[in-house]
Amino acid sequence: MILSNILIYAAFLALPGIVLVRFSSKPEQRVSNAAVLLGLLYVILEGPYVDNILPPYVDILPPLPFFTLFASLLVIGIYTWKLDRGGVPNPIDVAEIGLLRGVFNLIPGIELRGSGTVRWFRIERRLHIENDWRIRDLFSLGLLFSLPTLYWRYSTKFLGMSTEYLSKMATDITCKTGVGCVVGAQQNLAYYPVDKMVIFFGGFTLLFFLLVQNEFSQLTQWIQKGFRFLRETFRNLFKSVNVDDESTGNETRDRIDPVTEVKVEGVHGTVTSDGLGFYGVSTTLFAISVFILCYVLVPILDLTPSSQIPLLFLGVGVASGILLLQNNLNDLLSIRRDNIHRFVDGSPRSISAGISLLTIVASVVLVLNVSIIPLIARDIPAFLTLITLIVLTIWSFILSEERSKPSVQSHRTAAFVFLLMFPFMMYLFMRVFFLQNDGTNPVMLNRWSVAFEFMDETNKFKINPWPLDAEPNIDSKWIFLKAAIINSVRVTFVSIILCTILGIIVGVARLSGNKLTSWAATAYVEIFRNLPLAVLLFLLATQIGLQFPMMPEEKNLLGGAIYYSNKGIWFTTVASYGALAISIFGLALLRALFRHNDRTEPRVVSAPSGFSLRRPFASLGWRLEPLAADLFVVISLVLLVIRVQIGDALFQTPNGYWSPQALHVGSIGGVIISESMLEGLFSPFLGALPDGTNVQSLGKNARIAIGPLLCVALVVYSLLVTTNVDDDGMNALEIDDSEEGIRRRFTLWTVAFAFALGLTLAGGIYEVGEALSMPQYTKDVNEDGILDQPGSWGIEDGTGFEITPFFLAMVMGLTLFTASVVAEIVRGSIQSLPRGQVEAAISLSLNPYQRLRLVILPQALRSMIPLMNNQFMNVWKNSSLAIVVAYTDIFYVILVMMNNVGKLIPLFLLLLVTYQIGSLIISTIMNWYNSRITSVKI
Amino acid sequence: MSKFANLLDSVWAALPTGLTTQSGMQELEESVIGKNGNPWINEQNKSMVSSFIVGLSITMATVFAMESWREARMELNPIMGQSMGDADLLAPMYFLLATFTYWVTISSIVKLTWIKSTTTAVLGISTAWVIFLVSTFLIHFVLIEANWVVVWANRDLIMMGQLMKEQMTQSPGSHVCIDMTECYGINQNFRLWWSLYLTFGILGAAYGTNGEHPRKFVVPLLAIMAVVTLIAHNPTEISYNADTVVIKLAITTTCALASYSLMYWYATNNEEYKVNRLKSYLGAFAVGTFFFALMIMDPPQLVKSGAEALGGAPAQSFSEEIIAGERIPSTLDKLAGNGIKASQWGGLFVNLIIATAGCVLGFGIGIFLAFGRQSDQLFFSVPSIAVIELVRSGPLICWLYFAVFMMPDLMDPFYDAEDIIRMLLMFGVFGGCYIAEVLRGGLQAVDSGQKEAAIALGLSPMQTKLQVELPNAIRTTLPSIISVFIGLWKDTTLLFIVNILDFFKLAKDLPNSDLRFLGDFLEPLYVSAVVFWVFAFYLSRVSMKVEKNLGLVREGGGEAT
Repeated sequence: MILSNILIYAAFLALPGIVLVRFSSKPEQRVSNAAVLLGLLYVILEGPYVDNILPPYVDILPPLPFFTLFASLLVIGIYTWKLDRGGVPNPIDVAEIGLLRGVFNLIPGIELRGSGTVRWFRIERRLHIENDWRIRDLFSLGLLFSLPTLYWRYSTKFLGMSTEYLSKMATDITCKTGVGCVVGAQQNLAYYPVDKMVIFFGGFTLLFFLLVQNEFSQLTQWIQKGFRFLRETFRNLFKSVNVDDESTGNETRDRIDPVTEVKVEGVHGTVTSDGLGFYGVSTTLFAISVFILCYVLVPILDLTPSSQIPLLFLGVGVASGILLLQNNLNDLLSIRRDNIHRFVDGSPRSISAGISLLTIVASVVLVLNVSIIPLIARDIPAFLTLITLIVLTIWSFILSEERSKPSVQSHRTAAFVFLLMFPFMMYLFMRVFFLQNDGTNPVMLNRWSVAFEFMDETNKFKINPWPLDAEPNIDSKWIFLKAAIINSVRVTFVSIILCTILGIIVGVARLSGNKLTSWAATAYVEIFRNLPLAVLLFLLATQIGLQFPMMPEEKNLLGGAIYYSNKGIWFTTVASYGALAISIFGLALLRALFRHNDRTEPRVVSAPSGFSLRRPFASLGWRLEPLAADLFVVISLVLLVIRVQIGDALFQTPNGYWSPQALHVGSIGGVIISESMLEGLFSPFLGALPDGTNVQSLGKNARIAIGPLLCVALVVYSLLVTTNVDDDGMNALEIDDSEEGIRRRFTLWTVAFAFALGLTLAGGIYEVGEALSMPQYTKDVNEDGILDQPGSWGIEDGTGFEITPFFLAMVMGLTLFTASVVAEIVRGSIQSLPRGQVEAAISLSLNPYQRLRLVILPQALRSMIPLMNNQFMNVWKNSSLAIVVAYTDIFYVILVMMNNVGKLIPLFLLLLVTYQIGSLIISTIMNWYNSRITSVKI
Repeated sequence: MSKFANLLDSVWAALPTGLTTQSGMQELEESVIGKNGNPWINEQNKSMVSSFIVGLSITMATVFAMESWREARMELNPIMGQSMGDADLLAPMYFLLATFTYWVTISSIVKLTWIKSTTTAVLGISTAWVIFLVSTFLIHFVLIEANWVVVWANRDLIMMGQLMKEQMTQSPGSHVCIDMTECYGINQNFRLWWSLYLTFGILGAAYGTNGEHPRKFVVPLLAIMAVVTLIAHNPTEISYNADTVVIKLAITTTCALASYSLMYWYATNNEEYKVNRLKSYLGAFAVGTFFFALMIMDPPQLVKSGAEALGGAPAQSFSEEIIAGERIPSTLDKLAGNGIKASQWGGLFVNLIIATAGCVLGFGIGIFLAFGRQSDQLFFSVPSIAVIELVRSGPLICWLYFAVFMMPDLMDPFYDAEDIIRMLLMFGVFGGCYIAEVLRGGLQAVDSGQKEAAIALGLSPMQTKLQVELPNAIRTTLPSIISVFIGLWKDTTLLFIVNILDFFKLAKDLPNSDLRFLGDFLEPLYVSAVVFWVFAFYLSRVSMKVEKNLGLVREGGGEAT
């Protein structure tokens, strides 16, 4: 036993030793090699393998190897360095006192042993003269020495934990006796079927193997080639069968074998017998086939969970790392009878081929028979670490020589890092996986299992939603999430608009000739740009709370049209939003008609041939096409606003039951227009089920969302159509700007607006009996007729339009903060414009406002947009700070849900996905806008 | 009449030139409110009209200031610790502001500038009024409404957190603990001071290698340190021994000045390459200071045993004697004893150390990720892109929550870190991802000739990356990197959401700490706003200076675009 241990240690030291000595050519490299070898020695002395042969190993070396050794090395190193520098009289006598130097020179001695001891001293002398030691070198030497130990600890630790998880998950404790359990039931709560484990863990290793191998482009080429090859072969086969019928047997045998036949037949293409060219992709294909083989074989083999399963998953990872480093699977797989002599002649190529083969064979044999070697089976992580350490040591020196081609070098570097990182990556993956399956720890399981059923349950806490209602204990968590998303979106939307306006004003003001204004704008930018947003929000919220009047003070403006207090601001609005929508619809139609009236024939009439999705109305001719596009926009907006329950119509059965199969045509007409248009505006997104239940699952929500999503898509499409019509120059307008024309236009619009206003107000009177909805201040009266406490006074629900202080603080904070950055962007963009532009504008006698509006801003916009895009995404992400002012946005709602149900990971994923989608939408819109703006090159 | 005008002219001329020379005055007037549009005002009566307007403004402003002064005196409450002198301070400020605003408004109206140059007049008047309203609001708040005692009483708390404050104020020999009966704890503040000395030493050295005139460093440093000393020494509700603090602040200043003069001497007497080498050493030393600060707060066993070997006895082992005042622990004794656990850190120190972690760790991680993303090896590029995009997809507070609640599940089996340490890591990763994106831009902008030259010189890929591409990329992106750092510094205020007792959290909760300060919500908030602002502003100035020194403004790089 001891003998075998000693042999292992000898191999452990000797293998790297040989390589290090063989590859080191420069003296300072020998020194670092020696440091690494010493480190390996330390691993042996300190590692768990030692207790067989050197029982009191603890006494030999102090604990905490890294710090202690590092410090001692430094001290000794600095000492020798001083010896070097100070030129102490007799270096041969004195310098060897320095333990470090003595030990470091050991290895050159070993290498040159054959040449005699004199050279040993010569090397020693040379080192003295040539090596100008620096502290940095000593640091690196200390690090090199400590690295094996560090790696040993790191790798055994993480592989050990992975082994533990693997064993736990693989242990199959099926109830057989029926005592205290149901026969056939799984007793191990963390059990996971081994074939699925192959898919996940094997797949994980495979994924990284393929990433390191980096052959995806060759693979796709190869697959294309393969398809072509198959097609050719098939065609050929078919042909040969035909030929077969006609001709006689002599050629038949050749033709039956399609691979060889192809060239003989002279079918076009260069597909030859080895035309598939496995060479470029054989490693990838080998890995994939090994994975499939494992998937098929492993469940049959019935491996032991304690040793064989961990060795399978971890050992294969290490083996694949080694194979990747060897980088010769291609060669191996191309061994034929005619070139086999190149792999048995003792050349480096044959050695590395041997190592690769050995790796493959050894890993298969070990996985199948590990129990017969107790030394390995006892401690699998240590064994794997030992192997990895040897391989890494050898390869780090080969790599540091940089003798191979750059491509091979970088490939091997990737493989090296893969092997280095493998324990940690595997641990991380396995830990996540284990936490999701470990039934023995219900809290963790609850926290980590990615399942969203809990979102269908009712939510328990209250939020401040608008415009939909999300009632606690009635509505599901999905609805709350939707409400929260709408909250975030509206605060972001309002802030983006306001900060753009304010930012442009401040940015232009900074460049203003008015010194006071430009100074004030600079001060504004400097103050708000350097203020943390969280502090600003908190300050604003507190300031609003303290500065605004209290609710019982009944502060109002314009005779009760606007009430304001520290509980919010209430504005008067129209009573019927439905009538307002109809009025706006009418005005939009009127505008489309006016535009139609003013349209003239464009200079170039272009029309796509046939029907084109880009311009679907092109066949109507130049006169009607833009009108059709305009009307299309209006109609799709109307469709979005009114309640078109396409989802309802598609999926509602006559008895109100939801099913995707049932298509009930009769219900389409009935539900097109809802009673209240405000409800209709958002209810497609949030509506309740027809059977009256509010609790909705994601599936049901998705079905309801089909209608509105289609409408949104239609709106986007209609907008694209109009821009396309515009871009193609089909929208030539000639506006009658004579005095009479303007007067006529003005009169018409005035009448139209008056009519629309009347319609809106009348709609309100018809619907609720009031033209306007003014905030109603109410004071509760008790049963005994005495006024209640002022604390319960307030504005009646549903009257007026409320802005909550949270929303106000949020919008103010985001706007003030972002505007300072936007102002800088605007200033930079304007300053980057050539001076001649402004001068030209002045010489055209444009006034300052016209200069800004017509010359400067349109050009500055081109360089502004990409930067603004970033800022808008920042606004979206910063809206998550709403928790500071207790505004119920996405982050707030998900956070409280996390605290309530403890489903951390699924909720966290939802959070990330939501923010990512929002960012993507913003950047998509901005990129589209940018491409439109920069489509004209200047 | 003209005689009177002449007299006025001579009075104008007699006033200090530069401030009120007639042409200067006129220039200012034209710039702020526009050109004269009133046909009745000509060269003869111009001065008189101006004087009349100024006189009118002064009169109105005096009335306004007096009225405000009277109201302010009624609002001030000496019982709450406010002094009546604040009202006397308020009145002149109001007077100056009001004079200016009234002057702008009346001038514009009388001289009809709003007809001739409408934009300028509207801008000038509205800006003047905005400034007037905001300034009077702030001045009134600072001098009259606010009661700053809440901040004075807790200034030590918001600097270093609860535990260290108690150790400082309650340990034997402190200000509060005169008779030994109420004393407890061992003062461990030397740990913070050491880090501060080092930081200031490096700061001084960095300015010293700059080669600028000493005046540009010494004067601001002395001014800032004087302000800090005054703040530390203010006797209002002071709970610690101010003299020791002042001495230590003096040592800090000396450190900065000494290292500055040393480096200045070295930089002026040596070749540039040596100075550059020194700068790179300084960078490494600054990184070392960060780790030193972490280490000294809660030293590992090695340091403790080292101190013990040097003759220190662990201070906790004879704490009874210390509290009884029989034995004063030396610094070595304290060093041999236990440090301050990360969970006990607090105050501005936490913000500084976490923001620094974001810079130091973030810079390292950022370099890795940037090169990883550039790599043609999928094994490097795919994970780098995944990490960068994943981290950047969520706002920082999501990741802080991740670090507090989900990271332990993954980390606990191998490293049981405390919250603040996990925050350090998270800030590092978060900052790293943003720095990686900035650096990527810089790397892409490196001239391909540089790389080709490096390959032609036979440099290895690693050398090409680290010694050719990286310095080039950092040079062009340094201002952007600094603005990432500014962002990280400001983001440390978010730590309060995950219940880390940082400066902002402590300051925000001050009103709850004492019944006397129950309503004083705003004062701590304003103080934290100012403190965070000052640091961020300083960094942004550094960024601008770096940009200028590197000549990036000329090239059109950095923030100028």
